[in-house]
Amino acid sequence: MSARDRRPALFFRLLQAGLLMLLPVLAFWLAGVWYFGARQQQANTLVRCADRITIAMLEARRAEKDFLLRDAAAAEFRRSGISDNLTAHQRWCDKLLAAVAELGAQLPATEQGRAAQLETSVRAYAARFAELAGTYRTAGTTSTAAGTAWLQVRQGLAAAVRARRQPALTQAAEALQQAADAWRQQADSAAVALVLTRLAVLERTAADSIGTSPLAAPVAAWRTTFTALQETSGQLRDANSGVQGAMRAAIHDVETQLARMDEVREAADATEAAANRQLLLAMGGVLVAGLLLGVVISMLTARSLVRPLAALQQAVTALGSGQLGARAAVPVVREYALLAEGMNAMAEALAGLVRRIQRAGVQVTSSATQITAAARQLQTSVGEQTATTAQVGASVAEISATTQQLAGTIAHAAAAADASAGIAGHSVSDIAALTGSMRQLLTSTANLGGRFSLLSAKAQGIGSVVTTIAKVADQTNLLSLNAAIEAEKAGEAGLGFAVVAREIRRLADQSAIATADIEELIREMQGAVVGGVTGMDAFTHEVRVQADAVAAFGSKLEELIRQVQAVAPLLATVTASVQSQAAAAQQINVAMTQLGDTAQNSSLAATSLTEVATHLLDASRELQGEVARFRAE
Amino acid sequence: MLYLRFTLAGARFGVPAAAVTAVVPWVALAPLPHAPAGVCGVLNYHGQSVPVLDLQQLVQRTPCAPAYGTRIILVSGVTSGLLGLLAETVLDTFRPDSDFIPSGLPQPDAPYLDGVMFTADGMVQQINLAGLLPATLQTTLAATGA
Repeated sequence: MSARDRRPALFFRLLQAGLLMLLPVLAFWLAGVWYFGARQQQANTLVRCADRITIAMLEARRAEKDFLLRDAAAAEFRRSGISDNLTAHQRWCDKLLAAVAELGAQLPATEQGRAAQLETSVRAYAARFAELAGTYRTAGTTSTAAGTAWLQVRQGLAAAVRARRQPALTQAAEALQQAADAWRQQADSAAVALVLTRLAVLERTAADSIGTSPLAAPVAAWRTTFTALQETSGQLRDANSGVQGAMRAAIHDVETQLARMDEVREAADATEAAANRQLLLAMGGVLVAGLLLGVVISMLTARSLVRPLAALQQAVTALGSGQLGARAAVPVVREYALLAEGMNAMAEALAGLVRRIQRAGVQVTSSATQITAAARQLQTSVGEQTATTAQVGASVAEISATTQQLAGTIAHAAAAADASAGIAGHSVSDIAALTGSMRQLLTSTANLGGRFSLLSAKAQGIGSVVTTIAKVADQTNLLSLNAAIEAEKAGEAGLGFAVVAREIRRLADQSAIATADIEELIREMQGAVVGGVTGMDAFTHEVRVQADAVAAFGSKLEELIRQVQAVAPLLATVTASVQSQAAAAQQINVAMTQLGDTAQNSSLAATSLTEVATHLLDASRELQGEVARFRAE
Repeated sequence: MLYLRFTLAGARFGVPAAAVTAVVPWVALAPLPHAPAGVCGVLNYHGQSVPVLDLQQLVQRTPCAPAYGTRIILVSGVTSGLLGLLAETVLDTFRPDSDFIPSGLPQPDAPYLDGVMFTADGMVQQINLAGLLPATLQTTLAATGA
């Protein structure tokens, strides 16, 4: 075991390969970072120097222009000779020189000549400007002296002019004073020329006496001063133009140098770009080389890892195909070695197991074959039994159902027959009574009709008698009336007769009223009798018809009752026998149903047994086939 | 004075008994062709031809009904002979205490309605036999009766 532990583990192999692949990539990355950082810093310094030179140059030119435009002619500068712009110009020139020196230090040795030339041009420009400033300063000093002289002359001139009392002279003197005042305000060459012209006019005006007057000496001195001043001004103009030309040349020189510096810088940039491209190519090369190296290392590592696995796989394949004698070679790597040894042990155990299974498989197969045959036989017989039982059961159930139905129907019929017989018995007695009653009614009705007819005849007799009475009463009334009229005509003789006649008429009237009442009563009675006779006839007819119908119905009903009463006892007998049959059929049915269920269960069990036996046989055969693949020595 | 009382369509009327010859039953009358309005036939009274006037037809515009008491009153003094007056309920006479009084409403179209009387049984109107027949009818009847 200790010897096996010293072998390199798979984990360390993999770690080693990964580190080897990482190292070239890391080195490549560090080199690229360093190189580009240095190049970028140098380029930035050069750009900064060039910008500073340009800014200092522009500032110096601005100070120069300000001085020439404003300070050069100002009274302050003429008196003191000091100007802010001059100072600023000096400062910017110093900064410019410092920037040029720094640039020279940054430039490579091949470009040092250009830096020196640029410095020379800057120095020339500064010297020219200093020369120009000096000229202006000289002109200022002269002008100040002329001003002082003028102040001395002015008082004397005014006194002399007042003493001469000449208008022309006074006018010339005033013109001179005005010109001088203008010059003091703006001391340029035009003002100086104007002062000299006025001075000449004054001299001419006072020519007759000026040589002896006290005015002569100051005017002469002043002329001298202004003549010098005019000369100085001319010199200044010349110097100004010359120096400014030189200064422009120097500035042009500087600008040219700067432009060249730009060209140099562009060239340097181009060179740098080319160098960068080369570097990129180099870096790409390193990268590709690193990758190739990594791939080679990986392949080598993978081969060293895969080769033992392939050997193991071959051994496993041989085992799988049934060669139980195959064993794997034990490789160098620790994990693989453990795996191969375990697998060999497993193959050994498997071989033993297969030998035992083969022996058991043969026994199982023979037993399963026997079981299957027995199960098939059992299933067949159980199936037959089930079918027979089911048929018998169905027939018995049918018989039972039919019998029960029949019993129910017969019972209903018997009950109905009994009920009908009872009801019919009652009906027969009722109908007999009804028939008797109707016959009596018929007889009574016939008697009543006869009596009505008799009554009607009697009433008619009474009517005729009454009519006779009425006629008698009428006649009596008529007679009494005529008698009364005759008695009236007879006068006194007829008075007694008239009384008799009136009494007779009264009686006749009473008779007439009574007979009228009797007539009315008889008429009503006859109407009633006639109506009663008519209704009685109709009633009699109806009663006769009903009586006949009832009699016929009664006879038919009696016959029916006799038949029904004969049927009922027979039905009772049949019902009893059918009910006993139904009970027997029901018992048979229950027994057959139980038998059928049992047979069904047996059939299911036999089927399951057959299936299980078949499966067992198949499984044992399959097992034998599988085991046969293995050759266990 | 005695009056014979009768009704015409329910209203009571009366004629003086002195003018009445007799009261006879309503027997079958012989019809008269082209007879004037109100004349219902001719009565054979003991061989004498008596024209009969339906008084109800004349007064109330309805013919008399054949009932108990409908009789013919034979009156004299109107025509040259007898005149029959058919009326209803000719059953009684009466003797009033006072005379008839004018109704207060002159009736030129019916001059035979002359005077009313109020009795215990109600109002009774008098038939004036003289104004019963217009002159033309009177002449015609006279000619017929002759």
